[in-house]
Amino acid sequence: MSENTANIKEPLVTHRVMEMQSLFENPAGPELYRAAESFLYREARMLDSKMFRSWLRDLVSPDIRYLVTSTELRSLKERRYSLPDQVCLFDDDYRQLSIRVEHDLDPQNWRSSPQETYCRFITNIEVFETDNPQDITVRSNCLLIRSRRSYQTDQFFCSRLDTLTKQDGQDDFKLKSRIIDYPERCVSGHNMLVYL
Amino acid sequence: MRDSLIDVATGKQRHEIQGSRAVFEQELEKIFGRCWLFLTHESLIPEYGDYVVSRMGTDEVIVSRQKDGSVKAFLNACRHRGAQLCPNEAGNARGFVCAYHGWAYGANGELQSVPFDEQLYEGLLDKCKNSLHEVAKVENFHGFIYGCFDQDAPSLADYLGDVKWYLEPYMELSGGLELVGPPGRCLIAANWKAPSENFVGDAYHVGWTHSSALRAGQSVFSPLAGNSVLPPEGAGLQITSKHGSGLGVLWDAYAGIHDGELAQELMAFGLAKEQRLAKEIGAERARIYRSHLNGTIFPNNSFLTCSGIFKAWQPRSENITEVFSWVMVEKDMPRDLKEAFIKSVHRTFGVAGYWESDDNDNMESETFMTRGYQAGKKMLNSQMGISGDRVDDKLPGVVGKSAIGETSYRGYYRFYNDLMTSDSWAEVSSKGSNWQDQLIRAKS
Ligand code: FES
Ligand SMILES: [Fe+2]
Repeated sequence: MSENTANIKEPLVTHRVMEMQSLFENPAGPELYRAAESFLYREARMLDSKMFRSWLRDLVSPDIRYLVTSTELRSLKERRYSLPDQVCLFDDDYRQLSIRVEHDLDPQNWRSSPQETYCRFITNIEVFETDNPQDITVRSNCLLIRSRRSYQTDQFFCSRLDTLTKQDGQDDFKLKSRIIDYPERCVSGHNMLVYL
Repeated sequence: MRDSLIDVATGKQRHEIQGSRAVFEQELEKIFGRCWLFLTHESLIPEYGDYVVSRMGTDEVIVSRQKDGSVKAFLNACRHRGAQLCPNEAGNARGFVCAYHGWAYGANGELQSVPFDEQLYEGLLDKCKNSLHEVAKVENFHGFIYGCFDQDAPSLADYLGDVKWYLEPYMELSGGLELVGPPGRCLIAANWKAPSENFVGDAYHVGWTHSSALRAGQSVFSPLAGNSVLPPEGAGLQITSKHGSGLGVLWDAYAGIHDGELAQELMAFGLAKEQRLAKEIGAERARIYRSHLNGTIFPNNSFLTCSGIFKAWQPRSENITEVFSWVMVEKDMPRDLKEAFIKSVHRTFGVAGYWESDDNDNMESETFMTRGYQAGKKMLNSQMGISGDRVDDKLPGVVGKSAIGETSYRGYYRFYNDLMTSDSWAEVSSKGSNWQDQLIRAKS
């Protein structure tokens, strides 16, 4: 059976995990595929329309790990320099995501007014079974375009490796982990105050 | 002659300095060509051959640990046709080989080999004259390594001047710090001085700009949310120094911007260390160790001690700045606490930091508005507490009246003005000989 990203031990080196072929050995059937695909589209719609509280409540599992790293540019031949090459731009649990959401929706968050707009494009969806019948691995690409004030358009893009989980008695999947190694080393979009 | 950019006597600065191309070009020569600029920390290049590529103004430099343990810095441009020599951010290398034609340099910057040297140059290429261009001075302040292009600059210790006394308890007497990389990196549409001035002395904005962050994440600063209270009289200090570096102190606020259980664990750690330090270095400086300092080392290197944020605001142009965000942390912090701390620093003040994003908007709009021809010519105000600046027998520097004031802005731009209007360090030094009086005499 295929591995499950939820079981990977620390330190979690995201760029290695994203390429772990053992995750991608058991493609799921059409029914699971459709369920995963509709989960991702629903999530994108909720985030695009800033339904952050509903996103957390309905789509995010209480044991979520939401991880976005940035990897330092090193020589491919580098062998001796042993300091960590990753920084966690996000490494959030459910409580920490809630803080971000409340920060964003606070009436005194000055940057939220006038509103910025988001448009997410989710593509390259692949779905795999894991060694846990409740969990599936979903890989997808995300392009997020943010438009802000009159003149600012920012693009964020990445590959995402998700674990979706469906606990006994639940109808729908929830997001249990999301792993992203952000491809643009120096983020050109001012900040990454978005959910990828 | 054009109107002056800075009016030290009244604590005002022309808005155009936050976005003018002409001013920026002068700054590259007069500010970045002369001042001590942050390069890296010892903890990031511990071994012989370890290197990082850093920024000095708009230049890239390779900062490399030498065989004898010293540190040298070189422009990251090949001496042949100027290609970028090292495309990596960090690593360990005994030398660097240019990707264009293959000239190879040692970790000490010497040109060591040139392909087909004998046949093509017929012995006429003098390798000794083609070493990498070396940065004139590199010095170290308790592990923090700075470089300076100007041979005539004062030593790093003299340059830091009065702020040293405030920094030593946290940076040295605590048992020392490590800087945790790699840094987060992003581009903001702000002049490099907008964030630098904010960190040097803006305790004023915290309760208002960060209202939502203060409310969402419960930290020791949360009562300030929405400007609902002013920190009480005596809550802290604000100081500036001869060479523009300055800082604010908030007494006993060791847990800084961190929230929840982490904040409690940090408070316990800091308190225990303060009590131990009090016996070694006295209660006064032990208290500074556990107090929150916001500051900027002139010109563009900012930090929040205790909160653990360490920044370099690297200019790309008059209105684009590359932000480098590291974490600074006490070496002897237990491993689990350290890990949680590092993540919390990036969560609040990193590329995706929810505190940082509050600040972004202000810094970007301060710069954006300089596009207005009329607005650019107007003077900005940093007069808060202006007639209360003083020298104190116990506290180094020029000290402001209360924790919230703009003393450090005034000191920052006083020195900025000296640099911009001088042709040499000698001239800068003579203009600054009565720097304290200049600030104390200022009136709105
Ligand atoms: S430019 Fe570097 S070897 Fe020619
Ligand atoms: Fe701020």
